[in-house]
Amino acid sequence: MEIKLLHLYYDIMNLYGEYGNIKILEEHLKDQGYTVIVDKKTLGEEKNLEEYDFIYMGCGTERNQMCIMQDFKKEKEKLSKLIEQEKNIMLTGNSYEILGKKLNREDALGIFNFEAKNTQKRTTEDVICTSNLLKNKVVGFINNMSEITNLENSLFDIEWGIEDKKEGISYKNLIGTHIIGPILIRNPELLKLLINRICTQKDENFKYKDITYEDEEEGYELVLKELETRKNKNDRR
Amino acid sequence: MKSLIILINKIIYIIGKCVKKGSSLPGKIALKLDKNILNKVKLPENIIMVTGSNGKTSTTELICRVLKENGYNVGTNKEGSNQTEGVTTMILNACNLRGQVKKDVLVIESDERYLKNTTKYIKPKYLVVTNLYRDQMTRNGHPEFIYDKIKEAITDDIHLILNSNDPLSSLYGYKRDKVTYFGIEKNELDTTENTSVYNDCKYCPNCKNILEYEYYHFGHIGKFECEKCGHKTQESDYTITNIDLQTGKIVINSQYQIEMNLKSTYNAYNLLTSFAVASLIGVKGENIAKSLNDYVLQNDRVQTFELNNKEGMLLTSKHENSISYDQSLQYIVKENKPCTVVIIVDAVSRKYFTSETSWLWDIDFELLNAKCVKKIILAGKYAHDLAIRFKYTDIDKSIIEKELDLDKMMEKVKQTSEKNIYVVTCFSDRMKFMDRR
Repeated sequence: MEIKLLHLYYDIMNLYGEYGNIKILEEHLKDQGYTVIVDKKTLGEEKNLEEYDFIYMGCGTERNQMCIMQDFKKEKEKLSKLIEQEKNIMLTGNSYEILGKKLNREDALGIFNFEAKNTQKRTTEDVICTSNLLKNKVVGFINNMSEITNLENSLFDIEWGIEDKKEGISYKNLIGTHIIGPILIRNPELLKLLINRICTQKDENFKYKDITYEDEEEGYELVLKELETRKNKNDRR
Repeated sequence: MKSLIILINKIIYIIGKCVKKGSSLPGKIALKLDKNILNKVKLPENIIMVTGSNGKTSTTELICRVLKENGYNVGTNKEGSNQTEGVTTMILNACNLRGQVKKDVLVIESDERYLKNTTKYIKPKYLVVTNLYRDQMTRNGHPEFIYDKIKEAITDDIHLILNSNDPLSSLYGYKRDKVTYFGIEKNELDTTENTSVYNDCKYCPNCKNILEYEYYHFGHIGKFECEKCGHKTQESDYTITNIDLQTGKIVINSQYQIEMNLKSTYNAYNLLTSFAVASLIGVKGENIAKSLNDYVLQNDRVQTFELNNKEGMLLTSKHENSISYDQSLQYIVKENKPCTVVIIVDAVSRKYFTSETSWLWDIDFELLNAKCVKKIILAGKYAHDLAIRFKYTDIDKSIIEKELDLDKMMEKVKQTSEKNIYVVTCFSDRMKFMDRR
C-alpha cells in the first residue's frame, strides 16, 4: 500500500532542520511495510492537498511566514474542508499561526479563532509539555517572537520552560505547535501517534508493528531527564 | 570620579587576571558606577568594529596583526569579551587616569545580537559585517532577526565594510555612500548549484522573489542577482582575483599575493576583510600582504597533537553553526588522508544549557562519505542525536561507532588503526577530549 506525504514550503519554512520530521516519518512508515512517496511543494506551485495522506509544514522567519501565508490563502476553503474531513496535518514552529483569524495586522486563513502577532521579545527556551493524546511527556525547544490570543483546542499543557500554560492546537487530525525542529525525532511516542493515525486511515485493520528504535528512545529519555533536572533546579536559560 | 572608575577597572582587571576570571567583570562594575563612563573618555579617531556570524575573532586578530606590524598602537578586546562589558574593560584599561585612550586604533570584536548596546557608547568609524549565517539560533533566533538587530545600530555616519557575496548582510549597503565591499571572484571551486543542506537565500532577502545565482562559493555566498528588485552582488573594492587552495595562495586586486597558513575559502575571506580594513586605515597594500603572509592565527581554532604515534588534529567547530562544521568536514576530506573522524557533542554551549540539537540537521555530514574516511566515532551526551542524523546519510553504517561515555570514547580513539585522527567539536567540548589524551 502507498502513502503520500507532502512537505509544504520545504525550502522557505525549514529554519530549524524541520525536514528531519519528514525523513523519520518516511523511514518509519516504510518499516511498517508501506511504500512511501514524499512530494515537496513551495511558493507558486499547485498544491493538490487532497492527494496526500499527510501534510507537513515547518518553521520560518517572520518574513517568510508572511510570504507563505499570502501564497497559501488560495487553499483556504479546501484546507478548511480537509481539516473537517480529518486529514492528517502537522504544522510546527510559527507555521500554524497562519490558520488563525489574524496574523499581525493581516487577515490570516481564518480557520480557527485565535489571533497571532509578532512582539519585540524573542522566546528561546527548552520546554517540557504534556498532552492528553500522549502518555509520555513531550520535550522540545521554542524559538519565536509571537503572542497568541484566544487560543482554543490547545495541544499541550506546558509543564516547564515558558510562561504560557497552554500551547499549540489539536483539532481532529490536525496538530500544530510552536516547538521547532525535528520534534518527531525527539518524541518517539508522538511519531507513533501520527503513524497510527495515518495508517489507520489507510487500512482500518492496521496494527502497529513493534520495532525498537534505540537511539530515538534513549535520546528521548536522556533529554527528558536533563530537562527535568533543570526544572527541579528551576534553571531557565 | 572618572579617574577613580578607571582605576577601579584596572585593579579589578589585574585581580581577575591573577585568579583567571573573565574580563567582562571590571567593565560591568565600571558601568554600574557610571553608565556613561565611555562617553567621558577620549577615544582615538579610528575605531573599527567587527561583527557578523562567522570569522569575527579571526578577522579582528588579522586586522590587529597588520596594524601592529605597521607601527600602530592597537587596542583590542579578547575573544569572548565581545559585549559592552568586555569592551568597556578593554577601553578603560587602555586609558590613562585622565581618561585618554593611549592607542592609535581600537579594533573591537562585537557580538552581533547586542551590537547596539555597544554602539550606544562607542561609535565606530568603520563597521565590518563579515557575513550572516545560521548561528547559535537558540540564542540568536535566525539570521534575519540578527539582520534587524545589527541594522538598529547602523547610522549614516558609520563607514560600512561589507561582504558583496552575501545577499543578506550586503543589503546594509543599499543607497549608501559610506560603504566598501569585499568579495571573491569566480574560481574553479565554485558550484552552479547550492550544495549545502539548506539555502537561506533561495529567495531574495529584500523582496522574496527567487534569487538567481551565477555561482556559489559555499552556503548562500556567491554571485547573485534578483530580477525583481535588482539586489545583486556589488562590484567589490577589495577582491580576491585568484585563489588556489592546493598551494594556499590568494591574490588580492590582481596585485597582492598572500600565502595562507590555513588553506580555506573561509580563511581567505578573513584575510581579504583585514586587507580591506588596513587599506582604509592607510597601510600600503604590499605592507599588508607582507604582514599577512603565512601568518598563523593565535586563536588556536586548529590544534595538532600526537596520540599513540598517530597524528591528530582538533578542528574547533562551533556547535549550532553548520557553516563552521561544514568547513571542518570539507577540510578533512580535502586533506584526503586515511583517517578516523571523531565528532563530539556533549554540551551544546559553554555559556548556557540547552538540549536543542536541530542544528545537526543543517550540517552536511554527507561530506564524510569519502574514501579517506575509514571510521567515524560519534561521542558525548548527544551521540544518539548524532547517530540518528548519520542514519540519514549514505555513509556506510559499519564504519560508524557511537559512544556516550567520553573515557570509553578515548579508548576507542586510541585503538583506532588509522594514522590520522580528526576531532571535530566546539569550545564547550574540546578540552574534554584534549584532557583525556
